[in-house]
Amino acid sequence: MTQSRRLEGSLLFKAFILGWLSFFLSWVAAPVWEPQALAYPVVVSAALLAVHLCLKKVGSVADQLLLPLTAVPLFLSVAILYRLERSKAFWQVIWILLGLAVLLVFQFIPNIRKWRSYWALLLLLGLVWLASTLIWGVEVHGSKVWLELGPVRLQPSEPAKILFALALAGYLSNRKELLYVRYWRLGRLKLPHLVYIGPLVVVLILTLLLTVIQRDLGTGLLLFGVFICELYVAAPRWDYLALGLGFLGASSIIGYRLFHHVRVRFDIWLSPWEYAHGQGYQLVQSLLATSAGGLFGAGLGRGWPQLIPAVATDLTFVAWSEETGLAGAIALILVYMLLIERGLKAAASSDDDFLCLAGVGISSLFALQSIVIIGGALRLLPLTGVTLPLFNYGGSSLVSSLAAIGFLLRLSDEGRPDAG
Amino acid sequence: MRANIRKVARFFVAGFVVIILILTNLTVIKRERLMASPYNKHRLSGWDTQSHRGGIYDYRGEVLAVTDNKSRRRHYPRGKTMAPVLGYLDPNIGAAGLEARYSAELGGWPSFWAALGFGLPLTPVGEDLILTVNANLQQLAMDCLAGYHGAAVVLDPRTGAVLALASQPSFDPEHIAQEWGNVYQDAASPLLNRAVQGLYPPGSILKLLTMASALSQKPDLATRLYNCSGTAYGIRCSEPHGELDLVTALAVSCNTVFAELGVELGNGILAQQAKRIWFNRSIPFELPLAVSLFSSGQADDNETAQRAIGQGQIVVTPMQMALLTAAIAGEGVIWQPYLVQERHLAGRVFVQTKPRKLASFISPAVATALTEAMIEVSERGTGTGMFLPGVKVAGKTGTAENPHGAPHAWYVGFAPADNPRVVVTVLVENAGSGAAAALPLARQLLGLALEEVS
Repeated sequence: MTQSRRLEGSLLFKAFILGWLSFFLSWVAAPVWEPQALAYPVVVSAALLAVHLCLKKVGSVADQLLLPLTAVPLFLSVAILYRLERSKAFWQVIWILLGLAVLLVFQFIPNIRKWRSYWALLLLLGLVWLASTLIWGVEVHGSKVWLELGPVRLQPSEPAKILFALALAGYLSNRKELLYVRYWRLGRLKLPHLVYIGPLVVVLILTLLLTVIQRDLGTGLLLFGVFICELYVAAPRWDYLALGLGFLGASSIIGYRLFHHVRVRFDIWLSPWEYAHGQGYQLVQSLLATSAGGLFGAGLGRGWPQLIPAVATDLTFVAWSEETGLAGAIALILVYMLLIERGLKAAASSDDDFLCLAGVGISSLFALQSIVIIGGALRLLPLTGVTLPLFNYGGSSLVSSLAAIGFLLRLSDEGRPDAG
Repeated sequence: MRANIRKVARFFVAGFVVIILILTNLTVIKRERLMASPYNKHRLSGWDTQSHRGGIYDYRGEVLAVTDNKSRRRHYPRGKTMAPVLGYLDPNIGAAGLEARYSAELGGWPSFWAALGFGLPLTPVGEDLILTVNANLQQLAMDCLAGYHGAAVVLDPRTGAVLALASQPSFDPEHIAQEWGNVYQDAASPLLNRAVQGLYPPGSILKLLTMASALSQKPDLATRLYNCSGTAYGIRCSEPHGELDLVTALAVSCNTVFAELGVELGNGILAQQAKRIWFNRSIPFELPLAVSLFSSGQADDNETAQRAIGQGQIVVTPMQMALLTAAIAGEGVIWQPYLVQERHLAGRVFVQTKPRKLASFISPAVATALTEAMIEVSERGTGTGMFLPGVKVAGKTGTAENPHGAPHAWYVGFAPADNPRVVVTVLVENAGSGAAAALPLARQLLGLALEEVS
């Protein structure tokens, strides 16, 4: 039962043109003559095409916009990385191939609804991943969040975030009625019954503690955000929301008081220009680079984003913004907004509570991650080392994000048997 | 659950919209200001490689900075003399001064073009800048200050045009790359532009502000007689001056009278008057201008007395004092100071600077009264050394005690007193009395300025 999926095909083709053009500009601007690099966008296109054909072959009725929307940031990331650090572009292509393979594997899993029962296993897996760095981790830039496996460095928090989102969806879908109906009264506030919410809170605190110990505040913030989003969708109670925000406020204050590195982050955020020579250098340079872009940018390869420390791994978006200007930055943000919209739409149209919540979790993760890192680069929020999914350099992040897209595709396929 | 998902989606959309608004603010509204930031110097000098940089000329067209056609090297024919105004430009070190402030325009990116964010210059050859600065006057100012640490500012009180802006010690912008190691580490801080970035206690020249406060807000205090016993509020005069009015007190720079006047006015009125000449505020200027501070803290009588004679918690830039003097010379109006008169593109006038009123400091009548008192300083007071043939000069000396050694010598003044064309401010660090160390330099400057400025 093959499907035509013509919309996906034609949109993918347009993404190819965009990808090739942007890479070509970046390639022309490079100071060296490296014709073999022209193969990068071709290889990525071929892989995407293969995914498209496979989806057709297995008769998937998954959302046809998801894959092309994923393709755009992938292409642009290879283009901008080639211009920032050529060797990283090569590795990014490798990670894309690996990630797309994982994405494809998800399409052959027969019944993902069943994962709801395995929420404990998913959670355990996530926690083990997170905790593994405590024992085997290596320290980079003051954060102990990396695992070293031979020549490859892994950041376990990336897959852990997605496992956490799925586990949470499983747990909540089993108990959402209880969470909504049974509560304790505390004055005017209605608190969730401890029997139902208790385990969840314990796990959440445990996870947040782990990220605090590892000085990976961005991940902690994201996990908490995903928790709030899924809980709100499952049990839309303002009391819970207020409780969650109160918890967030309290933990920020405690973190600020207790930990020097948190304090430094906040101080830089509040007054970056005072620290412009020292620890605020990255943020100040990020603001200047963004501003330098103007409306249409310096042009790929013609700006000076390399003045920003760690631009390829943390602030790729800022490099993009400087070289393509406000127009390019807004265009990329719109792609992310559309991608998130498709994710939420797949969640909303799913006939299964678990799939719905899982879709919400993954989409929220993407949205929060984008807002936290872009907002951090623009001083809307304190700057943390969160990656922009599908765009920053980094194997763990890229493969995990593509796996998450794979799950979304599968979800929209399974949750929508009537579509075609 | 679907309705909830919609709410979550709305929250995300709001987040992205805020991000887009911030992006717009950074790339469009704040762009011009951010690009001039000193932390942006590497990008600025990088931009410079993409076109032929325009030249910088003094008010009558003398070349101050020009880029060689072949070698692409920047030449500064007047060397160290123009450094306080022009700054420097080097691909590795960055840029400062007007070279930094007008880097985009000099490089062929006029601000509207740059705001559109185009990656290529509008024209292959950048804009030329015609300054208000008079190179001969600047040369004299720098020569006068040579060997000292100090600054001088010459303004046109009718427009705010800066005729000279000197700071010593200086550096040679043409060889900044080779000398950077020394220049950067030199304890004498040649990179510090003392005229706009140096903050000093003002000493007696601040009595002009005290007197302006009295004349404007408590005229009865300005017309009565005072008695100087030689000491008041822990402040001394070299000798008891006896009975005298305020004009004479300014002429002989009597500390005790001004201390008493200050206390009777109160810290509030002094602070209010200081605010009117833009203390504690950033004054718009083309070079980074440090904010002069009149402490906002409460003051007891002793501290108020100290402030009234310019020794309390007050620090000023020489430019700030020049603006104060220019406001007295210019019937109470503060004109925004500026350095660039015209910007030329392809040989045509592209932008012409119009003088801009910043605010009103005092009324014309008060300005006239202060001018009379300042003439008295030159004719019978501490400033009698200021003698120019056939011209009446209004001035004030200052000798500012400071914790770093000998007092800083100050002189502010303008001429001709009845129809002022030039305002001069001179500061010499740790040089002793204003009358002995700063006034002679100011006299040379005024003399040449009156010849050069019509």
